[in-house]
Amino acid sequence: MYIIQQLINGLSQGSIYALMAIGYTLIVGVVGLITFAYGEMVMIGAMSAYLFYTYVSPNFFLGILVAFAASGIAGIFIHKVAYERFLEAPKHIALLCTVGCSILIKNLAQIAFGSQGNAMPMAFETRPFYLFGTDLYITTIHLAVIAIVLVLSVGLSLFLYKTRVGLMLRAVSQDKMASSLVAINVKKVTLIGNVVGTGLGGVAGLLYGTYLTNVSTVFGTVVGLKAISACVLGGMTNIPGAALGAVLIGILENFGIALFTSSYRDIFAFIFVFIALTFRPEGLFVFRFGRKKKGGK
Amino acid sequence: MKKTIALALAAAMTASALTGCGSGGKSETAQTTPAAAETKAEAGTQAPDGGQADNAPSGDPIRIGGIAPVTGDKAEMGESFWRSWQLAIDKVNGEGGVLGRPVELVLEDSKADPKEAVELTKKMGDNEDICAVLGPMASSEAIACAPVFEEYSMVELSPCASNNQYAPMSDYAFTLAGKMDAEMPYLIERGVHEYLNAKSVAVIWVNDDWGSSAYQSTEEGCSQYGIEITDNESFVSGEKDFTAILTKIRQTNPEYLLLITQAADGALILNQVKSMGWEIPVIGAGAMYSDQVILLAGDAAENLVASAAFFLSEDDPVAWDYATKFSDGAGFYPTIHGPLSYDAALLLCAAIEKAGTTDRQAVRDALMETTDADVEGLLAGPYSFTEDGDIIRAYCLVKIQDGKWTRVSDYTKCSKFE
Repeated sequence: MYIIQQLINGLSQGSIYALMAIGYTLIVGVVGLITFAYGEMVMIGAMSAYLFYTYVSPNFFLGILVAFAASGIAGIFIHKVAYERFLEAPKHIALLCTVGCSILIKNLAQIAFGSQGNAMPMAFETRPFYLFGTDLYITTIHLAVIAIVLVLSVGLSLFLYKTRVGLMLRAVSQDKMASSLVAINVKKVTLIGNVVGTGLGGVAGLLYGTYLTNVSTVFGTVVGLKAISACVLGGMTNIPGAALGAVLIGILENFGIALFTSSYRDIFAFIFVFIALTFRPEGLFVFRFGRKKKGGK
Repeated sequence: MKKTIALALAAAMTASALTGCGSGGKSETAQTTPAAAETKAEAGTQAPDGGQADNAPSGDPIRIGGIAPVTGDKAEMGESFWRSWQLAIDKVNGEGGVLGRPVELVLEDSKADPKEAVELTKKMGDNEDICAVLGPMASSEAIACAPVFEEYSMVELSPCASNNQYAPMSDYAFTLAGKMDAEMPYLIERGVHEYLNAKSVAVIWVNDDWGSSAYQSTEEGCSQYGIEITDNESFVSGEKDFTAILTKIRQTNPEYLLLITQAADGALILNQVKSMGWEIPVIGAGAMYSDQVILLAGDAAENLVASAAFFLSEDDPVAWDYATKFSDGAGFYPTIHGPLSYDAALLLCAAIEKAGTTDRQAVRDALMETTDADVEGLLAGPYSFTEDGDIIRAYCLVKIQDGKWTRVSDYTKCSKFE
């Protein structure tokens, strides 16, 4: 019973990681390298939603738009600073630039808003629903998180597989040179992919802030690492794989805490990644999902 | 292209430098400039009020070190420290300074990181002008720094390091917090046992020097009064998601939940307890007595019971005057850390006055002898140091009622210290 409750917790936390991982994988796909500024994108989404809820209106759906927009704009910034000029350059240059962007954004945010935790205003009533008359419950936060993540994932796969831009994104993700040969504006498409990716990270930030009931300017770094791990688990550019990896990380974390102590939360997650990569360095889900991907999600 | 990289890197470095500046700006501390017209009186006597008949301090300033987390996760707590130190030093300077000389605070930012604090301690130790140091903040930092302070024979007066091991570590380690082995037994005996009459509790504690020593005292207290600990869960500072451990604790079905956490973490737990629909009364260790809890947890914090070494009330004019000045600058009212820091600075100034010199060893010896009788305007006394350099405090119980902290008991000690 109790383990099932931890499973529900893990699932809901894992879905947030999944949304981050999806955005992250999208960026890795179009840009072609990992970014270290992603945690900050998550933070920007969370903080902007917090500010919007506090000063404008506690409307959940508008909040999602704001978070997406704010992180998306930050994504444009990252793109201009770190990627655009270095598309042809050795990859470590852009990589280092993202590290710089991360430090810059985090410190600027701390100067502007301080580093203390802020209570996230609740856009909806938080209450539990007890399942089947047992002690098991699922809260409105769990439901909201899982629902939003599902809707966004479906929306993203429609975007990727049913639109022209989506097609271009996938093309660029596979081969930049070939894409430019068939007159795809690689820079522009990379920008779009990057903005969508960071925007999703922003929404994940909002959900994470809602889930924790708290946001701060320093909470992005660790979750950014989780997104990287999930992305690596999934096989770098495999979106469904990354999402699954993320959900697994979330569930394992909660089980780890259930069995041992919360002091080791991050250890469970990262040891799992470590073991998984030792045996499947190409990513956990590369074969199973890599093929399926073409047929849609 | 190289230029762009250089620019990006420069931008990154500027940003970190800017945060550094945040602390730098704060560390330029003002010596209160005494108004020229004020009459000179004898140095060292206490003027009734800063306004009139001041004895302007002159000559080289006496420099006191201050180590606090000015930036980083604990910046808000750090603000309670440095603002209160500065207010106390302003008061001392307004009343003629120490030994007729103005006092100056040399503030350094430890970011609540023990490694950083140790480096800063060495830096201050090497600066011969600094005669004693206020801080650092947390037990972890204070303990890490204690051997270094001993090396430099310099006073380490931490306002709120309450780990049992800290004060006995060296002759130079002092604290005003009262040890955890006095506060937790108080909370367990007077609060959990007598006031709430609890039969079982579950404990969540932060896994640092303070938390582990508090948890140990809790275990002892609970076994003494036959209170069952249904489950205890530790977490590492920085943890944000408590759902998993709360779910784990909930199945052990405790009567009360006891939080040995800092205010911000505690507020997070309260919120998450509420959002999972668990109605359990909560007790907090001393650090939970903070307005931050109400601010962050709102409704979820209602009926929280905590122990407090000091309760700020408008009925106490001295404390209220301090609190108003503090909140004018900080934008929030201080809780326990502020008054303890304020008192620490006043006691240290009194000790230097008593020593008659800024010699480090002499200041240490004088501080040992300094009590609340030597200083006017202390907020959270009485004070007299034990042989170890700490204080045995009296505490009271406080509770959040209608969104405000209220005192629900008189100041007492737990029975083993009475």
